[in-house]
Amino acid sequence: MIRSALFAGLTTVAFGYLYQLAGINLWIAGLIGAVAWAGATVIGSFTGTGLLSDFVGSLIVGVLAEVAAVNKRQPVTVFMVPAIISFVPGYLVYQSMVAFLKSQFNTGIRVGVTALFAAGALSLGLALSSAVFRPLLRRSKEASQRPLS
Amino acid sequence: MELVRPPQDPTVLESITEAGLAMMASGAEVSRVEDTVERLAHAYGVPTIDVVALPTALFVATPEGTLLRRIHRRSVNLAAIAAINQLSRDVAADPVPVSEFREKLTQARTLSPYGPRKSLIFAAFAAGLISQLMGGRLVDILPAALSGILTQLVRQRLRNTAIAGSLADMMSAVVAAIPALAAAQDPIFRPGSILVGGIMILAPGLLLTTAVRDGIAGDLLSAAGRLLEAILIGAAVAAGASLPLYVYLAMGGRWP
Repeated sequence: MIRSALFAGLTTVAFGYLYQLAGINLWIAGLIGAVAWAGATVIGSFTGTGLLSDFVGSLIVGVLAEVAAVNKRQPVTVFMVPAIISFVPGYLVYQSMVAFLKSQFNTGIRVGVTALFAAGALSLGLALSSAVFRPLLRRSKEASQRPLS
Repeated sequence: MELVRPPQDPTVLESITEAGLAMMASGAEVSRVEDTVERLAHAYGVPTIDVVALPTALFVATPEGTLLRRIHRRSVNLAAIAAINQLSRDVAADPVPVSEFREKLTQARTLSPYGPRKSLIFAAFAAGLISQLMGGRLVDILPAALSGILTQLVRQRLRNTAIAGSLADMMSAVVAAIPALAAAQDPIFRPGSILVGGIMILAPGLLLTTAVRDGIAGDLLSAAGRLLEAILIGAAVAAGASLPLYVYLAMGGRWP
């Protein structure tokens, strides 16, 4: 688990470089990616299915990215996009593609729909973090900055 | 405090629209683009402003006039988003002359800390590392890194041509499959992980993230448009990677 979390963190950093990110933000994003992957692996070892761990992983990415964005005063996508890449269900899409190429249509559709649901779980995690945690994080800050008119 | 404003400089509207355009084309969320344009407008003394940001066009309306800009080219540049965001905050705190702002904007929008050569190396690292998360073994790192380099190389070459974005992604994915096909000859490799490592370079992660965030914020047109673009890119990449694999399988090639 530690090894794969390390790989997830390094993957995040590499994709951050590829998206032209620089400096300390890159390493924060890498840390977020590693923590989220570790969290998703822990959940996955309890439930055994992929969807819940994908959801929890992207939720961790979303929440930590919001926290980092507020603290570093950066757009939240700077942390979110590189960290979420490791969770993109590329391997499922690939398996579905190969199954179709081998005329195994049942397998292809089954795996393809699983990939679609995995992408849905990712989106739900990100959506929840920006819909729920963002207002909570920003509220106190904005209240203190608003001038008394 | 009411200051006597000088007559509106026409380049102000143009400059702040440019800033919004650059952010939108780099993949920023609609709410952030609108926020930036409004903040800049207030800094330069434009009293009321309306901004409509779509993935394909930007409208900025002020009492002095309306500007419409079409967005043709979109790309992923997180550095540009962050830089323009920071620039707008700086200008809001301390409005510099418009000409100076334009200069800084030109710098920020083309900001790329790493040149094409370095990007190739980063693509190699990214592909090699992500193959490890996609069920690959340590020996798969090298062919996956090669796949990443080839993919990024083709994508860079095609970026400045007239070839449409998703078609360019498809051609990049075709090239990404080649190292995996070569590695499939030897049972020590897992060609699937190598192939996925290569094509993950092309994954539309930013579009998906931005689409979700736009949807939450209620910017439905942009959310739908970006989701469609992400699906189109994903389909193009899958189709591109399938093509050489299909030919290879039809010729009776070995594939686990």
